Amino acid sequence: MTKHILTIDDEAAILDLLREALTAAGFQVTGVSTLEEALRVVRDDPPNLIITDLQLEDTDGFEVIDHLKEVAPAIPIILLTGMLFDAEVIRGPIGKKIAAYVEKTASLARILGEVKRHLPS
Amino acid sequence: MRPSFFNSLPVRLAGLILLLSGLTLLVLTELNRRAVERILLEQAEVQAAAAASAVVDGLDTVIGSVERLARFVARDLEGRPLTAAEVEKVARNVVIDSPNIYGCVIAFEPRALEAATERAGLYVHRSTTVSRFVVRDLTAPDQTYWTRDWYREVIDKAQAVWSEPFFDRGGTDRNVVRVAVPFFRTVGEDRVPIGIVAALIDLDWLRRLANVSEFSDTSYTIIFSRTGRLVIHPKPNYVIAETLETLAEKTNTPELVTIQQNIVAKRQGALRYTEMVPPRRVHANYKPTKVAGWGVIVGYDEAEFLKTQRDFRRITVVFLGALLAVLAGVVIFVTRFALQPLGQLAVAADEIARQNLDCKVAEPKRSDEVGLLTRSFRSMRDALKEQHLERRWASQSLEHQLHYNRLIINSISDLVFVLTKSLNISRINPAVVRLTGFTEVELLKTPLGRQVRLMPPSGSTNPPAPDTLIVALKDGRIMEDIPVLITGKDGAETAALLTLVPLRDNNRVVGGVVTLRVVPSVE
Repeated sequence: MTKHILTIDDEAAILDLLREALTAAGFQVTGVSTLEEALRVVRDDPPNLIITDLQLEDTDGFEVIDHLKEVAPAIPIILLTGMLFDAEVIRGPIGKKIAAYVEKTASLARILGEVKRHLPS
Repeated sequence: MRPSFFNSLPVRLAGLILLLSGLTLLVLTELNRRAVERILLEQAEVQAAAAASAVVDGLDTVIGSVERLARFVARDLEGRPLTAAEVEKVARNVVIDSPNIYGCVIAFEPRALEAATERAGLYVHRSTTVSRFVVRDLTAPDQTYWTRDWYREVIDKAQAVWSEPFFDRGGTDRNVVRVAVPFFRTVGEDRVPIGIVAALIDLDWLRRLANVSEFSDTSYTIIFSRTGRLVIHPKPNYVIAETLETLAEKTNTPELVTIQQNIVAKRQGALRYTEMVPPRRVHANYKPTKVAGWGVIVGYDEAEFLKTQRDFRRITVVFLGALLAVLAGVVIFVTRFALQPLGQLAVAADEIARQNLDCKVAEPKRSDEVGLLTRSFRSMRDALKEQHLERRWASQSLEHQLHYNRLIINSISDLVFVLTKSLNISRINPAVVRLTGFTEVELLKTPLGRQVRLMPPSGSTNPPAPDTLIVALKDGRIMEDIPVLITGKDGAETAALLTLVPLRDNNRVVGGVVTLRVVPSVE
């Protein structure tokens, strides 16, 4: 059965590229740019994995992660963000809530590797 | 783009195969033709020689027996006196006893038969009438045999004479040849010819004998007399009417004259020559007879003799041609089928060249070379697609990062200058523009010293040396809280504290970053 991945980012180009790469890898992908849309997807079609940025249109990633963990605590979350925050900062407040932290400058192969690590076939 | 029909690989391949196969078959067919024709002609040569010998042997048997019988009768006539009735009986018996003899003549010199009879001569020959035989009186006014050359020549020469073939007009009305033998009476010590015995042979009878010895449908037999007069010939109108010499002239074949000369010289042999009228290649085997000095030619037309073989070769060539055409069709069909995926790959390659990495490349269904190529092509397309996606991702993430970096720098309220190692301005933040009134373009590449002047530190009246900042950069030192004056575009000066941090790249100083914090108390 095809695994479902929810991607959350406020940049459409990033969402498109992630959809393209993940779809090619055999995943079903839903991309959203707001917390509200993300919560609706989690409620209506629960994903197997969530990939989210820290910068969103209506809120920041910290709140997103808190909300998502409240709604679906079992879904692993990969934080995919730029170098706005130091890795130590990320690990501190939200380290226990996320499955992995990947910088956006990492390669797609690295991102896919993390995805497959948390979604074994 | 697809290649034109004649430039396509299947057609070229088929053409090449056709060319090579065709050339090979042509060479083999030609070699086979030469070998087969040589063997056939050698066999024909042997058969023709054998046929010529057979005809000569048959001819010698027939005409030899006729001559011997004539001599026998002549000697018999010498030994005893006969009446006219007995002579007729002898002549009739000669014709009856020998199927080779069509007619018999017995003629006497004056008073040689009976003293009371001046002339006596009769001619008995076969007939298609009921009586089967006709007896003619050669002393009749229209005959007068003693005046005829054929009679006088034998009497005068006193020896056997073979005539030229002739038409026996008023007699048998047939083409015949005659052998005449004299018979004698002894007068004193001399043998005096007193008459002749002649036997006539029907040429049709000889023709039937000759035909028996023809060895193929296309072979033919020519028999000619000592002078070359035609006795037997495939064309009946040539018989008697033509000689080898006239025939040689008529058909432009001097070889016939050569044959006649060889026959006269009692030589046998074979000749090949080309007749001009009608044009054809002829093989002739010739041999002289032992009796009468005649010659026999057994010949055959090369083209007619090889006709069956050549017809077979034509059929073979047509069959091979048809086979090659079918082969070409099969090659084109099979090659097109085999190479069909290449056309699709070419279309896909064009699409990839246009950066369409989502182009369709069909799943290979075969495991041959083309199938492997298709599989590799698909792998290449997928790898290119991954690389392309990776590049786009890298570009996008870099842009994202730069965007936020700029955002951070531009959000700083202090004045930020990014400098080269020579302290020329390479970048500023918006705070610089706001304070100095200079645009970014006006400040870029200009020395920092034009806008920023070092002031004496507190408690001192001497300003630092002008190269203080350059030396600090060179040494890789950080300088902090250095008092300076900033000169704006309107000439107004603003006091600030300068901090210089060297920009390092792998432990190598490549420039510096200067931040200026405005100090209100100085103002």
